[in-house]
Amino acid sequence: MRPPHRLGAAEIAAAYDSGALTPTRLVGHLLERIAALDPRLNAFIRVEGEAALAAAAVAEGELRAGRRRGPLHGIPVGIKDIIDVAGLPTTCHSRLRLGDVAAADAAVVERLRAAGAIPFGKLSTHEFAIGGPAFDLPFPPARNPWNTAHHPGGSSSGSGAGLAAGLFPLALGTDTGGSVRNPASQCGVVGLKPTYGLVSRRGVFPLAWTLDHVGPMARDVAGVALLLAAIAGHDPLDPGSVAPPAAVPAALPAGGVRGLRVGFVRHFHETDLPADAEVAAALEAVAGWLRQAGASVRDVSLPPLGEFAAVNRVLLHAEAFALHAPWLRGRPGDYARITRTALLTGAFLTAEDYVRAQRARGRMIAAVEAAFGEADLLLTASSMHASAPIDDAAEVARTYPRQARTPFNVTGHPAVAMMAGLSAGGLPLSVQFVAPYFAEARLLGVAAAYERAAAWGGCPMLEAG
Amino acid sequence: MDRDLIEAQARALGLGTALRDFPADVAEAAAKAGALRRALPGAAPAAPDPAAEPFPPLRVGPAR
Repeated sequence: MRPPHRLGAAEIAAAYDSGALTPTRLVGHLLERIAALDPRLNAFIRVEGEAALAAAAVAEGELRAGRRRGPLHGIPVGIKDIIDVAGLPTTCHSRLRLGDVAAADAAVVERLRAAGAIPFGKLSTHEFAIGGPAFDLPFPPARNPWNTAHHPGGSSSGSGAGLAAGLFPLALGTDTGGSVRNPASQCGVVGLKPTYGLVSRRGVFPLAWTLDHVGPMARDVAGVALLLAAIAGHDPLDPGSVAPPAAVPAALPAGGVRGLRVGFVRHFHETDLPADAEVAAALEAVAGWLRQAGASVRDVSLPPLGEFAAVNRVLLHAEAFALHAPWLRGRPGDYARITRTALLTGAFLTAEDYVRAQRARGRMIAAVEAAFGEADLLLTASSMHASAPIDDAAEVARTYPRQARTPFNVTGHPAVAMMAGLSAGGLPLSVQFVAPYFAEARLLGVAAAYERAAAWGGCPMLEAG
Repeated sequence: MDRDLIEAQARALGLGTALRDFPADVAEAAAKAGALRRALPGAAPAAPDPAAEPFPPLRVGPAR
């Protein structure tokens, strides 16, 4: 068996079944790794070591007695620190929330516990899931395990960094403008933004209600599928929640991509926001693999990325300002500068801007739906660059918005981002697959087929341990 | 939006403290909002066409 920190969630469950691994041994091993590595990564805001060991001991006893609470029994899951875990502060990585202890679990944490998972600690984020890496906050920003001088992406930064480094096998992130898929792209892991409404946001600190999604992250596609199945489902207490038309399966569909019609949204990275040559080459290689594996790939057009981005940002800034206005009035100095500037933007948007953006959104949804009339899946860029040096604020600001993730926050379609190669500098490159509403099983099936074919492997920090 | 207008709007919204302590951030935010407005596609809302109503903002359809 490989070292426990390199196992995916499905492999861990199998190792528990065979007796090759126990929950206490896994949690103890991961806590040792966290103690050794996290001072360089800052993936955690808070490690719940004693509680995790106690929960692991309970899970172990239940396994010995032949009881398995669910598919994630005894498996640790990292929680982005804008998601409530009862009894712990939800800091949102901000000094504005240092003392705010959650009275109850978020809906997704309730579901994780019901599936047997062990909440493992609270993970770094960009402050309130907006802005970027900041050094004027009570907690340092997370760093990229592939190269700790680089940004791990955000805003679910600790989720991506900790997964890539083997600090936990599964994590929750949130995605309002790409914040699950960005760290997945920059850290070489897998991140899914599900269909809007498929996963409840109750107990998650909002950024922008009509764009917010909670999403599963893992080092492998099978882990994302397991985690999604555990957290998906209708929640009448989340006004955006919907009942899925069919159960979300935990197992990936068998089979490959033969006969699949793939629409390649080439203009996103060729003309709208030209990508680095190595990103473009990686995307061509993915398209080539799809063709070789029996799919048909043809170019499709959607509205330009700049228009999607403007709609996303107007909605996001308007809704976020409405939420943060009291703090911006009374305690503006308690935000990081990058967060404050981002949140103040909404003060200068008008009601007309907001309605124009919502109307444009309707046209964009129709355009993506029309594309799915002739394609079963879309292939697009995720990030146009590998990750920037974290200390180079200008380069982070230049590269961070150069991405193709926001369209699917605007439209609500499910999208997965994953590794598609390595840059000359040894950092992950990425690809994004997008599916029709509620077609997560198809989406993850294709992602798993690509994962098997590409077999990129993990970062040196993971592989060396 | 010129500087006087930015300052007047910030004060009207109760953001006087931010304007006093972080004037560059307020100016940057106003400039960004203006850029976003210019980048928005489509015209301003037309008269009473029911099809133009943007709400609910996101209505997810059935699976294919």
